Amino acid sequence: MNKVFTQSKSLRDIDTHYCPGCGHGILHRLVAEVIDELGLREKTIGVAPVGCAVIAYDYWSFDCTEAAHGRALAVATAIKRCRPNLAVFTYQGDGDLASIGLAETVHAANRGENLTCIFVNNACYGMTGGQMAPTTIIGQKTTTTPWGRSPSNGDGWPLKVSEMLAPLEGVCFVARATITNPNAVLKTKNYIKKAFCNQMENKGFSLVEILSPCPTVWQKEPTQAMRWIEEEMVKVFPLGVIKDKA
Amino acid sequence: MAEVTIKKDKCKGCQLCLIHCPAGHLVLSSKLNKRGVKSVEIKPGTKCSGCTFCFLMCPDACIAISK
Repeated sequence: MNKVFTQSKSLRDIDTHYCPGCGHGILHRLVAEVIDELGLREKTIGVAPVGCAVIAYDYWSFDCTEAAHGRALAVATAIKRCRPNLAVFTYQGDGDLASIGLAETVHAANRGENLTCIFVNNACYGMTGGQMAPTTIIGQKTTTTPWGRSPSNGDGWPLKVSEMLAPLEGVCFVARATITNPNAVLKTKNYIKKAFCNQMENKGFSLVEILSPCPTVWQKEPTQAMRWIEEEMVKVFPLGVIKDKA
Repeated sequence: MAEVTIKKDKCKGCQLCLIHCPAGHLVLSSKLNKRGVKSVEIKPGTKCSGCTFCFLMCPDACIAISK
């Protein structure tokens, strides 16, 4: 018998610190699989964010660095400009990319930097205890919106980063996916692979947004959290390819 | 037929594999693992078709499938 489905070599065989049912585990595996399939393990530099995935570099066996909060795309820009032959990607959460690092994100996209950005949207600040994030959906309870996010209370509306970046000239590929079922996981992997291929073909900035569960902060069972994405989050953040210039 | 191996001590018991197994071959163990949670195990005597749904849904890369 041959092991046909097993851990890829870019993913280290160690226990992760993530909560049970957290989407980061699946996404770490998908990124590692894509890098192995494209043969980029010795030619990749990842940039880890600040957030729950802050020690993502411990779980991957290719080169990684860490950026200050929200500045992953600025750091990645510098790496890519110094070493244009390498595959450089950022792996960022919604607090990192859509709030603190929004300026870096918009300008990296607008400059058309030849980078891959993996954007993990869990609609809250997971690591700091579940505060409202820009992507929190209307009515969602967080520790800073205990009665639910309400625009009439001055909380604003969910920020749709993918739709916001797609019209920019420098952006090549924007897609939104989720990981709530095996089919969605395979689709997400295809989008991530396409985002890396675009970079290797010098086509410009590619962003893949993934709606990912945070069962602990959402106070749901892992299986209920997946269902909540399918029933509630997808209405606000529709899935699919938003822009494909390639 | 395929053979599924589960690293029980890595399992956090989230049950995402269990609900996505179309044949219902996975169950929660009655024993606690090293982490102190009930890990997932394969029902004895079941024949796996190797659809890989459990492998795709596992957030902790606990599952390997041989064919």
